Amino acid sequence: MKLTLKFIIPILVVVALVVFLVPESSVPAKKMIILGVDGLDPRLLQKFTDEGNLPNFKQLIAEGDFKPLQTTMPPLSPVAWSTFITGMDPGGHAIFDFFHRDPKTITPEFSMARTLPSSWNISIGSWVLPLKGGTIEQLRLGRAFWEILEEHNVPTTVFRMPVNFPPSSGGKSLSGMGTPDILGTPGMFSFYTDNPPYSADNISGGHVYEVEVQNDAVDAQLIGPENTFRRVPKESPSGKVSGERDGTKKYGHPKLTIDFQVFLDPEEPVAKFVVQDDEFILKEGEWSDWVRVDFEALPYLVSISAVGRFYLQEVRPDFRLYVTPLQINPEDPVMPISTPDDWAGELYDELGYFYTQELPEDTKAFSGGIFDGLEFWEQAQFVFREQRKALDHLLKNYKEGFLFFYFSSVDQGCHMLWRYMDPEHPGFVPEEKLSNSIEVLYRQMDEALGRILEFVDGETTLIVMSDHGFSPFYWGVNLNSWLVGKGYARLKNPLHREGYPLFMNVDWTGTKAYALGLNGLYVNLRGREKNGIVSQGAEYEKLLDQLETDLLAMEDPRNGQRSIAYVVQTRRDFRGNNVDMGPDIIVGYNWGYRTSWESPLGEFPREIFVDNIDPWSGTHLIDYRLVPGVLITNRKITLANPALYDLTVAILDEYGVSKLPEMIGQDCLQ
Amino acid sequence: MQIRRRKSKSGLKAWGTFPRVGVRGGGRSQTPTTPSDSHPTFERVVTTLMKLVNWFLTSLFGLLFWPFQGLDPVWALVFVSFLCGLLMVWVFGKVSNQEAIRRVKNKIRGNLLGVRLYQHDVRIVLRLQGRILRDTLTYMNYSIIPMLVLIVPLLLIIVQLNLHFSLRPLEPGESAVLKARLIQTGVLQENISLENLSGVKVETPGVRIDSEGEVAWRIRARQPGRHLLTVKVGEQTVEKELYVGDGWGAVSALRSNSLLDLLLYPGEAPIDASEKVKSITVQYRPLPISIWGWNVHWMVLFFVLSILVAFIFKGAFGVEL
Ligand SMILES: [Zn+2]
Repeated sequence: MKLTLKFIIPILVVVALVVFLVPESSVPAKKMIILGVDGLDPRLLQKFTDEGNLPNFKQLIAEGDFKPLQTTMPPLSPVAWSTFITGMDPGGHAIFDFFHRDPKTITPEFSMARTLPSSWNISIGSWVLPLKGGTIEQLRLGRAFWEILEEHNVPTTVFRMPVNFPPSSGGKSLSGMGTPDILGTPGMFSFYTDNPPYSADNISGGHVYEVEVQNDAVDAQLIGPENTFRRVPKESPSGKVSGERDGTKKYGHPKLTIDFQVFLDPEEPVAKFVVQDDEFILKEGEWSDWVRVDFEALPYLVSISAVGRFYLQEVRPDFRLYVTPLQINPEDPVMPISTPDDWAGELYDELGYFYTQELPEDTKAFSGGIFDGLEFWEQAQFVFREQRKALDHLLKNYKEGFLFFYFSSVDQGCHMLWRYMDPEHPGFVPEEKLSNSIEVLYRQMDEALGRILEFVDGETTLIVMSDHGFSPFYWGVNLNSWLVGKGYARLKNPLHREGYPLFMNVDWTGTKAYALGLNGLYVNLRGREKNGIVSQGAEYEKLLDQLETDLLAMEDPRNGQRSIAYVVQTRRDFRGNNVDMGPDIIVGYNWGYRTSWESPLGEFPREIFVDNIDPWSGTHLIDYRLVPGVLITNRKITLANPALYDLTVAILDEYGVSKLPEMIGQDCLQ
Repeated sequence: MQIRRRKSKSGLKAWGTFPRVGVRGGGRSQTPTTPSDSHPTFERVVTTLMKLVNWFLTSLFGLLFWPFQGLDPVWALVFVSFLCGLLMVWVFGKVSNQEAIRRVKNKIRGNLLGVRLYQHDVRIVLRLQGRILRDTLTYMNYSIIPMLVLIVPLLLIIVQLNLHFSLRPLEPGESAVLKARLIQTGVLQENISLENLSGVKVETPGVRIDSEGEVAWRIRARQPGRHLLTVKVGEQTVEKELYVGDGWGAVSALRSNSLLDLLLYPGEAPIDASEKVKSITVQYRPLPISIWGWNVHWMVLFFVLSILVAFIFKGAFGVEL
């Protein structure tokens, strides 16, 4: 008996200590809500508020504070959000652009995440059985602030934070920008027609499939990802299997497909769709609900689930059917899109299927001529309504701690709809129904803010913030062509300008610098680039200074304007351990300018300056001082010029957590 | 336990409706089983008999499930599996030669013991194994009759369970496809419409698919209830039940003129052979059945539970299985 007591007493003491000392569940954690609105611009916000259209913003600004929020250079969403997430500049978090290059091959790669295939397989005939799954790696470096908050027992909910795929650990989170569709791309729509548009092959972000209407029926296929469980011999373009004789036969994976049928009524503009077990009927101009499809990779064992929506654009005379990029199904996700893993499924239980792809507004279908402005608007509004519904759900269940919610509608809308409101735009389109569409998007944010305000009490800190503002995209700059003109780059055949992407026509022996990505400029450095000619040290430094001077002097001969307003020398101007991973120079264009459509992927068109008549008519890829974001809060802002990295520190400070040594900002809230 | 609208995590697709309603008419019911001229009275007698059986069983199961209406369907399924387990043991005990089964099982047991005792002597073991095999076959022979006797009520029960647990009613606000198939193709020549639309809205014109002899509409449920829609072909009219509601119950996806369908889809009376309409289908969605968050097909749950119950209660009934 004595012996047992001897054990029981210390155990009781330990239990008592644990109960009293662990603060969890003692007091609810302080409430803090951040509404992150991509691309919310301080000037437009002020204008619409002054016009009396944003009553909730007006009230919040009157009771709290409003300042422009310094963004990053380049002022690009992945870069800026990464700075907000980590409190570091690109030199720390290593996200410098949407894409970067492999110096050994000078081919562009996505900057946000990378897929590594399974490395350990066994092959039996045409079957491949992976013994170890492939992995997806997030490329943002540094720690996310909510991971740190979770460590300090602050419950966090982070909805669609950009550059968070696969999501960083901790709390509840759903990944946003950077999340692929089921094909592993940023979103590939499918378009089925019996009369393909002239430019079908050049449409990026979507595939056009030619189909036949026979006996008022269309047979077509949904194309899925590669079936990594199967292998087929790779064929050369001539149709021959290579290496069959010498035993070096190469294998590839066949694509998974799902057949579907469309039955058209012989007279009425209406059709019945049969997609696996699902049947639905659409009238011309109608969208379907979400349709679940399952690609069978291993019969009865492994299937890859996806969801998509069908839009029957036209039945006759042309058959035109658009299918959204196939989404990772939140009900049964094949890639990690949430923490905990089953949170996506819980959201599905509450909300039904929803877009899981990074930026669901289909700007590519609009730019590619598949959608017109009104169709884009309708699709984008559907995305907004889904996100708005999710906000209601999260607010309803929000009890304590930190809540971040992200909207993409303003950013994507301003990119595509700018030309409808700006008569000075070279691509201006008078369209009554869309001329005030950007204002409508701001009013929708105001309404959402009003909803949030219902949940904000005296103890809750509320912040509305954006990653950057907006500017018009009037003129494109072919930076690579300019480099050729200035003698920084040389072409193998100066007559071959169009149709040679990915630096195919570049003579590397005569090229000192090349532009890749949206704002990046790289030196062709010896020892780093595969055919580098510029030596490290003095030659490199001198070249950078010369480039900076020349870039800042670049003049648009048509109007005498400077087209570049700011230049960053990455190693000189950034802080952090990863400055070497970035471009050597980051170019800040002037108001109205931006990189052209061809230059970022290594093309060299003849003209340096071109009018932009693409539907993508608004931008923010310019001098970061011209496009600050927004900081609005129910507190007072203590810094004169708060920056994104200051906000990170302020969030930690709200919870009494001190900033990490690598964070470069300071607290900006009272 | 609550209803969770999630398909299985395993990646296996839900089995959907059983048996599956033909998606493209492929094969099944291509040659309609309308009463042939040679045996009109025989067909009519069978049809009448089956209508009676269906009516009786559907009412019986309706009564059986009535107390479970407001609950998760899994409770009703557990309950009915339990009853069936007991029923199976009892029937097996009644129709099988219990004495013979006991004898042959004892012989097998004895020989198994022998195998263990003489395991070092290969010749004996082989001889014993030969006997075990023979006795096992004898045992199986004894079970065939009771199995055959059991199969008929079991089939009727499964058909009833399929009616209740495979599909869920349309929720108010939800849309679905309603398809009418004609005995002959030529939907373009006929004047076909969908009428009597209390509680539902027809959202599209009928899509006429000549090759399939099919007309399909998109309907949207509005008010809960069991509504009767009318498909009108020329002067003829055929009714189809549409179930709108939030819970679960007898959901009849198919009304048809075929005898086989009458067996498999007992929820509605068959369409009269004189009608031009062969079948009417509503594309209901699967009823999710889950235990502790895991989705299971109702049939898997039913078999596992009823067999388990049968084994647990065989002693209580004094039955040798
Ligand atoms: Zn943007």
